[in-house]
Amino acid sequence: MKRMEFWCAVAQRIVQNENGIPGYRLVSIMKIPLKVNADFDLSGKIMPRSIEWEDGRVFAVDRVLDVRRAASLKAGGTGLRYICRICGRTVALFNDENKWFMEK
Amino acid sequence: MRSILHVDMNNFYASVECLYRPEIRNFPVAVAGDPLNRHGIILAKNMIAKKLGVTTGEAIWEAKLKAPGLVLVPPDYKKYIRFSRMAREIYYEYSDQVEAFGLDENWIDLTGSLSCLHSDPVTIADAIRRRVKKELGVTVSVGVSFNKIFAKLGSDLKKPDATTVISREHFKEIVWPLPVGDLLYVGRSTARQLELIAVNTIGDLARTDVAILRRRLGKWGEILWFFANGMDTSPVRKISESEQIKSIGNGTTCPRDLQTEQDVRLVFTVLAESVAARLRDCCVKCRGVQIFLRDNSLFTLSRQKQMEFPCCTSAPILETAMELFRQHYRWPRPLRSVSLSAIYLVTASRHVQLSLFDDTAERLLVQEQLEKTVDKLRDRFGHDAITRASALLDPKLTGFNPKEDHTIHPYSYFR
Repeated sequence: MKRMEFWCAVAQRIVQNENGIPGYRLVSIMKIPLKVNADFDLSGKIMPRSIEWEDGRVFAVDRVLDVRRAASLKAGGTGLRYICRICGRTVALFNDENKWFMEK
Repeated sequence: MRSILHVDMNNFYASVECLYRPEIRNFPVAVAGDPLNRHGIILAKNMIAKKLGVTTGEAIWEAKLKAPGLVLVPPDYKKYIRFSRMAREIYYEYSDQVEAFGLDENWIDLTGSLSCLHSDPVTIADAIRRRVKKELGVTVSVGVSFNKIFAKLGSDLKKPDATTVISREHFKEIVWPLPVGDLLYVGRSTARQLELIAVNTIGDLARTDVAILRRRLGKWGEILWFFANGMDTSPVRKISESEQIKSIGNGTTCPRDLQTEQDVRLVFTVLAESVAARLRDCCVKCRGVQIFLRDNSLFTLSRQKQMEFPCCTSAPILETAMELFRQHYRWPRPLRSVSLSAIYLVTASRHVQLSLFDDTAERLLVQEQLEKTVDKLRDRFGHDAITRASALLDPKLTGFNPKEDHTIHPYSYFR
């Protein structure tokens, strides 16, 4: 159930924005800022544990598959990219100087 | 033979801004200073603006004539410094000899590390290009050559996101047909001088008798001749080697023209404080002061003077600067920008000869203690925690902090 909810939330955002200005797609709204709950381990490594959607729903990060520095041309930003498994789907979370975001 | 890369980030400031604002990526974009504070010139532009003929250094209105839909973005130096650092972290993985030339350019000497990397310079150049693009989201062009000068030339040849190889075997075909102005250190006036003796391309320069060049341009003629023939041997500095500082200076273009000596004194006070604080940070003292004035018709004037005692406090620097100013400027026109540099630097720890008859040197030491205390206060509580009362006379003129706002300088090749 949770899984459906998450992807519906993402889809809703896309629909909202694409209908924002007719004929002109604002690309910057491809960036979804996120509230993130993360663990800091003793060596200073940061691992996201759950993300909070803008309406307050919380989705747990089931697993972190890959962490590396990468740029997001789509959302506009650069930083550490965490490829995560959330509700059975693979998504990329970006940590740009502790500001977290997700690409659409 | 050495293997040297020169990595140049394409349209650095503009690329970073376009990365962070995808919505403007497909428009002509220029990073420009604040026109309200009269810093309104183009600092960088993206490829689209470049195609429309926008050039770095021109005024905003000129650029807008060429590119009517130009999107202007204010500079964010903190972001650029961060990107520059991240890029250098990548380069350090390939060599310990990485030398910066400004924020966006670096030389990398691979000669020593090639055997450990089991690779060749071109493969590494391509790998660096790919990694920077993927990890930072901006493109770089790389020049691969056997000396620093040709590596830099190479990185300028193909843009953006390309590798250019200039080998010892082929450099004559690639480098020699280029106009002489493309060579590092051939500026507008040197190019004009060379034109007079029918030297138009780098090849012409290389084939000219070195004695003629020496007669025309002095020792620079000889250096340029060596550059043109691919005989530059200057090393790429190691990470740990710090640079020898030759001067420390700050300057500003004022929000309004300076009309009176009082105005000039105010601005010089701020600049002298910043210069003195930076001298103390670097543990050096200066034995001379240089001022640089530009009036509102863009006429420039620079004068320098030696000081009796080496110092690292703002008062003597300010007084020497004002003395120079009163001596050499007769107010034909109001001033637009001024700068102040401390020159003839010596180490701070050396002993000072005190005089039996006057106590100037001793008073300097007392002053130094006072200013060090001010430094500490500012470190802990911020720059505005303590200011001179005179700074309040015109907060608009003095309301800038040159020490922290502007610490990006063009670097010199010969350090």
